[in-house]
Amino acid sequence: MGGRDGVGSGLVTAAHVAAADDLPASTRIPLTVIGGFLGAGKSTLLNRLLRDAHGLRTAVLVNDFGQINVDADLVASHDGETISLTNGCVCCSLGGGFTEALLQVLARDPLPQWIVVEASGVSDPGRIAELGIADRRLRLEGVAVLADAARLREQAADSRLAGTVGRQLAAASVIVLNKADLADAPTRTAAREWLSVACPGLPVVEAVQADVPRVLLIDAALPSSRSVGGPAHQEDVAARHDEHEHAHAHVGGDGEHHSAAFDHPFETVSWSFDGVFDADRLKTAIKGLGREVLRLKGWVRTDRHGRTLVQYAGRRLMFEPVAAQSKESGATPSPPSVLVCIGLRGELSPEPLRQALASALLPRAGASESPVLVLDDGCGQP
Amino acid sequence: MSIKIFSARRIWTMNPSRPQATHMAVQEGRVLGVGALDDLTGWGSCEVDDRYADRVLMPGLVEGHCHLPEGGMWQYVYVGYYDRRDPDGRVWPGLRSLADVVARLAERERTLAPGQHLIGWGFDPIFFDAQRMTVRDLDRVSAERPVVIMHASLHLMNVNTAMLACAGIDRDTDIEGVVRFDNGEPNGELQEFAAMYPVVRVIGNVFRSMSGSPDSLRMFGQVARLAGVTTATDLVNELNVDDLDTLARVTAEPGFPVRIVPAASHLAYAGDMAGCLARLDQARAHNHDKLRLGMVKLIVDGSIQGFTARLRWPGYYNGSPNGLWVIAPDELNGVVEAYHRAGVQLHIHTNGDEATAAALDAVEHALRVHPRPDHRHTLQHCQMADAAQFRRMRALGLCVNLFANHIYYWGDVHRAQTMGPERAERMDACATALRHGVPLAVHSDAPITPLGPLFTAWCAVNRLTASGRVLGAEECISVEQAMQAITLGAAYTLNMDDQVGSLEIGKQADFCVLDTDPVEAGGMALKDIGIVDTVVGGEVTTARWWGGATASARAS
Repeated sequence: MGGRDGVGSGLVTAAHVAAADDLPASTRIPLTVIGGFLGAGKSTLLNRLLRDAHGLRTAVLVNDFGQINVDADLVASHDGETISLTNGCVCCSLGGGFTEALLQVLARDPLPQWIVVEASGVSDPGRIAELGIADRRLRLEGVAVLADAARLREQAADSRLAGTVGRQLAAASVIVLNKADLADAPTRTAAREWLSVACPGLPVVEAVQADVPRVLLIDAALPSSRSVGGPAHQEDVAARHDEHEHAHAHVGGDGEHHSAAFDHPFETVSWSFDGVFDADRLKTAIKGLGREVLRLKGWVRTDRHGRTLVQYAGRRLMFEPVAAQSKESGATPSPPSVLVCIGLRGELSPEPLRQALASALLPRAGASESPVLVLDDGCGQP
Repeated sequence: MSIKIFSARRIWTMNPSRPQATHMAVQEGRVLGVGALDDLTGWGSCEVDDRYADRVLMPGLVEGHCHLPEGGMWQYVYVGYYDRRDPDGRVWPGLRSLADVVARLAERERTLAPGQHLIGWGFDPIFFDAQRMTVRDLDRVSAERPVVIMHASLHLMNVNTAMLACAGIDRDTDIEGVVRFDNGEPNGELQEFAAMYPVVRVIGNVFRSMSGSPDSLRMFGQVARLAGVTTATDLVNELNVDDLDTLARVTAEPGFPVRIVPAASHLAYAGDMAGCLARLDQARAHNHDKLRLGMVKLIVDGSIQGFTARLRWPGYYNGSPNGLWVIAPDELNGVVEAYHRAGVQLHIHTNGDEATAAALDAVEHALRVHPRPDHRHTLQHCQMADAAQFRRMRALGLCVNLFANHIYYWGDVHRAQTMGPERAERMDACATALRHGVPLAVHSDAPITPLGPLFTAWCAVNRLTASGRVLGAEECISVEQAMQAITLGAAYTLNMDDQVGSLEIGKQADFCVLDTDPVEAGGMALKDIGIVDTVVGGEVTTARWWGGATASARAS
């Protein structure tokens, strides 16, 4: 692997990884969409996120205000449309529409550190997720769709809900088969099989009482890659949870503990690439990756952006260029592009993924040449 | 108190016990009597007002489904395909080409201060065949000033390059609703809320907050007055505390020309029905003779022409996938039951027939667990209901308010794309409703189509589409039936038939003055009948009762 196409060995060295970690993290506020069907446990999950915030000031936007059930001693104030909690979290009503709710949340002082939006069982979570792209103060993390393990197939078979179920699945980054303790093994297996036909490759995890691993919802829990080895760097997250460090400075201390009651390990794979990407082809390549890629992010150089953060989550791609870096000259060697992706353990195939990404690199005329990039800094340009 | 007797060439009372008269006595804002002059002078000393002596009077028109933004929209530039009259009575000609749209916008643009955005409304690309508006058109309006046009559906926008830049929408914006040229650059058309959001961030959520300002409310009053409407709904009201205070205050201004009947939006309460009911109780304290709160609005599905309505088999004629539930069918039973038990009257939006079926099931369930006489729950729009569904409505005591205006504005589109010929011919089936004894009203859903019940009546009587095709002659109703639907029929759906909708002793002296007799002129002439005056509570309404500036002067 590597070298064959003349665009870099893909070898990740400690220096490269350290350089990636030193680059400023995105200052955008992560946004996660929680979808799912009636009775799947969305409210249980949302209540849990408000209660166990792990130090993150979380704003939860809900459709069903009546289902929010937080201990009275956690409630600091309640004004009809917003419940403020003593732990810094807020719960806001979506009654006025998504646009209004989001604008209000982003007008708060202090700003939340994580925004979670509930998508009703009959909505299109993909549209809601796009709000994470529509507002440049946000960074879309993904769409988690909850399903009741015992009822999923029956709900999918209800002719009045057919397109509705399809919409949830099409938008999902991951399906959480909740109430796994209430469905026997054959039922759960049948549900998984149905899902694997309906949406091949889509990650499925099981959960009890909506106890969803946070790494599914937000990458603040994603460990930084520290070890090296081989052309591709794979890491088993579950095995390394004791050594977790957080990739982003703004996240509070979070000792992620996986419950012993269930086991759904994740893995990350990272690569480095020398050269410059064709931005449009990179976008097409990333959006064409299989559903098993839960999230992909990194720092890359493209023909249109120069150096830019790229994040792919919730089936949407975002570029966040480094501001005011207008020229690169051949004298200063730039760090290579680094891309990291996360998925369920055993479901990522590193080599096909690497090839798909590498196919978007611009051909290099010669190793010593670095392109001179000039960015237009007119109004509205990145 | 003094008695005034209005004389007229003819008064259509909409009271079957005395359908026609020549004189009407009014005292303390109410009808003291209707009949011949001799029938009325016995009440005491009176003064005859013969300003309408050779005109035709009928009860003030009742609009059972419209929204307050029908007034506030006029702050912005109207760029629709059809002629439309503004709050000052000025008719803005419909724009028939993209070039004409650009010209009207450019004219307004010249009057704006530096830094002001230019906002248009009412645009519908469906009338321009294959041509779509793009940045190339709107850049001709201005290269520097951000411009946005809101589509008539309120679900799409078109912007210029300057607005794209301000909103930060570019080639990389990965939102499906950002429509692009072949080269991948955004072309200025933005579909649905996520794509529109960056622009809303620039201009503010203006289309949403429209009912809150006194000026917007007064503009609504103006529009209603010009249309002969004396009672009108605001069928999605969030019962926001400040907005309600403003609404109560402005509608109480002496001379305010229309009675407003808001319906509380269940959607605004995010599933918290107890919260909505509690808020409604407080809100009712604001009620006075021109403001009546108490109803609740539910929305079950989307719109047919937007392909978001829920249809039964065989679905959309052009094969589009079925639409969106706003309330899931399994949840609807619980929602309807909760409000029904609380004694509230429900207005339930269902456009597609699958949504109508779900609503019928929910009402049936609610009645079974909690019988309640004369509930008057009303299905709104209900455009695709078939005869079996109308029979169920009758059995359940439901009323129906049909969107007759759709026949004209979208009838051709429904026939060709959404419903197909057979269902289009029975869309908004007024005759079927009457045949099965379902209490009937018809509406405009302004600002989706203009407020104007005489035009709506014309649609129900003639069933002519914009292209001139008759869509289902068997569903045409008579002029008298249509007049009933826009007066007493609509009042009945608002539970106000004891107060308005017909001219008879004890009811409000709300009437409109016509320049033509609708029954004499016949069905084809209904839409051209002019409103000479509108009278509310016996008082002749005036053009600018609050003494303020014209809408167009304010907008420049």
